[in-house]
Amino acid sequence: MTLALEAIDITKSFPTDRGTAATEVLHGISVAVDAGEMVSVVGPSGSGKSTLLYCLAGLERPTGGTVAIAGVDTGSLSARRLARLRRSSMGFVFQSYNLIASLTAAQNVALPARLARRQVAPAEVSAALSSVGLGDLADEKPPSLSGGQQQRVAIARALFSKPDILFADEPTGALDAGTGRVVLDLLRGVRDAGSAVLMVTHDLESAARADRSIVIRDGRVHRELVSPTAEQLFDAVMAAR
Amino acid sequence: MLTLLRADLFADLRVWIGTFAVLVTAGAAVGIPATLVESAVHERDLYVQLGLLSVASIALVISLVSLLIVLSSTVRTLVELRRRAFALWLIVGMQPSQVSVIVLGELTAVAVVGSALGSVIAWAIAPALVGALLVGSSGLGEVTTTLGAGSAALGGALVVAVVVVSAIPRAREAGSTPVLALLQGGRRRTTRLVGRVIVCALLLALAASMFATLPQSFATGAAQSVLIGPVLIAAASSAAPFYVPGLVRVWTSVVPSTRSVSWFLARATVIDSAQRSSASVVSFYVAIGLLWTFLVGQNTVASSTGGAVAADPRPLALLLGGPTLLAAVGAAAGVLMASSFREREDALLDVAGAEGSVRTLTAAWEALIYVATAAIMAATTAAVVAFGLTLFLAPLAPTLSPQLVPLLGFVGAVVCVVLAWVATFAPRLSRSGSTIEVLSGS
Repeated sequence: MTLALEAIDITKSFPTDRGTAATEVLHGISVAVDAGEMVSVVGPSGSGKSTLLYCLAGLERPTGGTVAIAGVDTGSLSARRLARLRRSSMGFVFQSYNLIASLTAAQNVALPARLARRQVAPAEVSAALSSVGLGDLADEKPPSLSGGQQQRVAIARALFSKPDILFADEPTGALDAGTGRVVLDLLRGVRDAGSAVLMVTHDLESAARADRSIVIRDGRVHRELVSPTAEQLFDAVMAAR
Repeated sequence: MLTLLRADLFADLRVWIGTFAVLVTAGAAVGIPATLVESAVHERDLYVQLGLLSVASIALVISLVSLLIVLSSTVRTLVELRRRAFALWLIVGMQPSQVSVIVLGELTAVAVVGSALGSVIAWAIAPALVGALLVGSSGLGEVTTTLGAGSAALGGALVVAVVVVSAIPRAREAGSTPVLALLQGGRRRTTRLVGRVIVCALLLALAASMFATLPQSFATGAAQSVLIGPVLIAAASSAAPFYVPGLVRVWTSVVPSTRSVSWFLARATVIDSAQRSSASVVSFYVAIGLLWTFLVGQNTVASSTGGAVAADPRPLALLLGGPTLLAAVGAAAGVLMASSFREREDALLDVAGAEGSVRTLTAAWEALIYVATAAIMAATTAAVVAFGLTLFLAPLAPTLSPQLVPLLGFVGAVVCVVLAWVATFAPRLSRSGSTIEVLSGS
């Protein structure tokens, strides 16, 4: 199996407001995600799970350790090469959608490909939006879409460049249960198509739909569970408090 | 409440700094016509007094046009950019009327402090400045220029009055902010269409009457020829929400979006922004158009005698320096105030995999599109002034021909682009937050 992501001994510290000793949020975490695998990261609030995702995705620079995406060590990359790697190998889905409000749904979906100077056929974009059930909303701008629709556009955008790994930060956090299930089905579809998915969530039902779950406690890996149930995850998270 | 207001001030610091800069400039700019009026009042020679009052009236009209457009644009921008804060105030239980009162109170307080500082600056330097600019003008070079504290304060009071009048409808809108729609990412357009149509129609009627009376006043110099431009600018500014988005869409389509992703992004952003507010474009329009249309009017009428217009820039600086400076500062302040949105847009592009150069170019194109749109509007107005004067005066002066002075428009546009770029990129130097911090609003 090919590794989509391999992180070894990740640490991350943030300086405090008063300039005193830095606060260490991650204490040497190692994570590996295979291509075609869906991994969820759970843990109590403040355990460092979102910081871990940002470090793995190159949105934050880790203080220590190494991160490789599709075999490329991100720590050694310049900002320009990291941007290229982001376009070619990574997709992002956030709780707050983070679509560009001035662009239509279709333009948002095609953006990473356009940034990579790739010719984009309208039919290609249309197919991507249809795959998430939004084929008829291609010309709508994000403010006129519902939360669930915006999240589906974000997933279509993440999938459009066929990334090696998709990072999802609380992807169902702002959605109702029904819409959340649709989004999770789509993320499972991403995995089935061969991309890896790393999802941070506080929703244990959502986390249980992953192939593997990592429970974080105080910036360290507390437990790993393969094909967990929501109950097992609940017990693990409670034990991590 | 005070804690809330203080926290609010620091949270939206750039918005308040931009507004304050505009108000200080406005207070100082009004000092020039105030100095002219007070100097005229103290003048004993009737002919000199009438000459001064004539200059003062032109300066006052142009200053008022600039004040009304720039201050109302600034107030509108400030309220638009703070809608999220108003939504949060409403959601924690504040009454809509309380929000309106606070918004009006905040704006009035900032207007009083800013215009007072501007008035002090005017009081300190305007008499000497006006005196220097009058040197060499026929009959007015020996005038003793004065500006008392009372007149300077009166100028400041005029600025406060314009701000309060502009702020009242905006404060009401702030109180009726649609909370849920806004917090869920929706946006609303706030354009008072009927009022704008009425104002535009009245100003166009005024401009038409100024054109129509040109033949009668031609023998005495057709003094209104230099004021037609400012009146048309005011009319076009009040109607701007109707046509600016379409204008941007049409002229920017000249460059195909497929040519450059940064151009594509900038174009989409400016069109989207213009659909919500045309304030940025309008301020640049005033900055470029005031001086340009004034000179077009002056030179076109002067062409009837074949005489060259004096190259002395001092009279122009006297009449237009303050209003043009105010418009330029207003335009740059508008860009600065909106820079928090730019930071977010930058962060979103970063996540999408845009390189730094793409993000920088996008911001640069955006500023350029704003200024170029304003320059197109100013060029159109200048052409209307030049050809309108020719149409009405040609029967009396066959040698009269339209003088478009394109170089002046170009120079004005270049200065505005530089200002816009400074206002766009200066906040980036102080940006310390990471992409994630910007996106999460922390």
